[in-house]
Amino acid sequence: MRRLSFILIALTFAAHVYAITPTQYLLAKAWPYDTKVKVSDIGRGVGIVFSPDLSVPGNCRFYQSLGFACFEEPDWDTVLSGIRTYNILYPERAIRTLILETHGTNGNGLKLQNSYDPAADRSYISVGALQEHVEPDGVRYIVISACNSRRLLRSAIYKTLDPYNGDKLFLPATLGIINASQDWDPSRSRIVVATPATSHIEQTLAGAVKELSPTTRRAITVSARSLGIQPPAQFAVSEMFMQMVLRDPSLELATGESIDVLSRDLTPESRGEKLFHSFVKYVNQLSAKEYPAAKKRTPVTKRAAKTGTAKSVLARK
Amino acid sequence: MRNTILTLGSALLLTLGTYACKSSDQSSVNNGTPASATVSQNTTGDVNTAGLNNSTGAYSGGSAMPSGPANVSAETPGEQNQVTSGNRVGGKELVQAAPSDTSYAGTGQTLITSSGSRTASSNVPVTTNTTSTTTYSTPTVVQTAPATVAPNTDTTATITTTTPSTTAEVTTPTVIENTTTTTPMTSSTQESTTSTTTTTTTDTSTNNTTTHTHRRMHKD
Repeated sequence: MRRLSFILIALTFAAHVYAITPTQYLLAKAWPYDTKVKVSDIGRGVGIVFSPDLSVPGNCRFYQSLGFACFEEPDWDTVLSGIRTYNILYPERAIRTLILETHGTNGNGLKLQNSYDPAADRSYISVGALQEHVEPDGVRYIVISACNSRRLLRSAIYKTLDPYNGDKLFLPATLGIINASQDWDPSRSRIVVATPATSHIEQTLAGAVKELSPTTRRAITVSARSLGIQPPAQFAVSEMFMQMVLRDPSLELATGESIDVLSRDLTPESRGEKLFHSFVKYVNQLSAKEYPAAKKRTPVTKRAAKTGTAKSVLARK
Repeated sequence: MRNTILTLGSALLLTLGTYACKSSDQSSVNNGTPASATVSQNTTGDVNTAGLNNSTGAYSGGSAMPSGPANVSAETPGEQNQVTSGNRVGGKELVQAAPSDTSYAGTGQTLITSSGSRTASSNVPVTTNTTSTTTYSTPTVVQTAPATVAPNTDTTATITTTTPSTTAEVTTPTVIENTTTTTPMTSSTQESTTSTTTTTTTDTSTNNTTTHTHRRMHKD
């Protein structure tokens, strides 16, 4: 009896250790994890959309060097066209998962903007409209990394945004608002929309490429050159993005459930820094696997001399 | 008695032989008629109609794919040819074509901001084994020139500056590791570095580590 109890406890513990959380399962489907992936293939099949004011110069070149499809525009219409064109031009790297590094406007609409200037270029889109537009292009997963993103899933604004919501962050839509069609049915969409389980204000960190190891910089340079782009110098990376890349167990994603509560919570600064260093370490490890340290070789002159000697010996024979 | 028995036996054999001959003749006569047992059942579909959906025996399988939506097979190009070409029916490969776009109202003319060129031109230098010769010249100022030097004058030049350059020619056998330099990364002066990113710096004198934070942007 005692032995049986021990076995049951051990089995329970083992099951708990190997249990796969819904977030892990979702990430495994949306962004398969590969420990031996090349640096230039980290983002294969993943598109990332940046609001220009949440980015840094040359940011998209960094993500393109890592294999992502990157879009950084204040106009959603341009972004949607870009996604469609990308999947047509590169079917072998077609975007299946879309990560939104945009504003959530306190959960009132996905916003892209150049700045907070009221006259700046700015556009909004509803979650339903985004689904409606990118589903024919082959996108199957949308991960929203925006503030209070679960509020975006409220049924009242899921298809059509409310421009008169009274929120000060809902600045003039100088480039328009994209809503879903009236006859579009969300229940028929095959796209899975994932948001952080806990609503809070998401944050993005600005980093420099020189913070990466020389091997990583070399890998990024080679990838950028192969794409015909200039190697980047800096990049912007969100905490949620880093959590996804690192498969951080503290990350919790939710699908399809909205909330009404508006949160003003900010993550502590130390958390972002810790994630950033882990992210840098992870990319450095990948590049180290891809470009292992070269062994010291015999100088060319000596090798040439040896080769010449061997040739002369052969000639004599 | 013995003769009687023989006679009767002979008669019996004769009788049996005649009967046998009659039976064989009758079978040869009936042999010309078609068999009556198997003909009539073909009119209503026989028992071997597993997988057939109608009485005519025509195959109509494949109407529902096992793992795909029903409308996929109907939209699959070339499906008709595949069925009628005599290949194994039902084993066709599902070609999931993207449905036509009828919802998107954009112009569709905007290209990706990234350069879509696929020319891989920078992978070459990785394996080049060349010998690079670097010449370092260090001009040395022996004596400074006078303050004013008038050009195009016939006076003797008062410039006594000579540059006996100390030239050091270094022949570096190139190793693969050295050929792929990452100079573009380090000389990133073309972009405005607006971010305040700094890295962890270690003070070697006091052996203290000072960590600076990165600039943060709120996605409100």
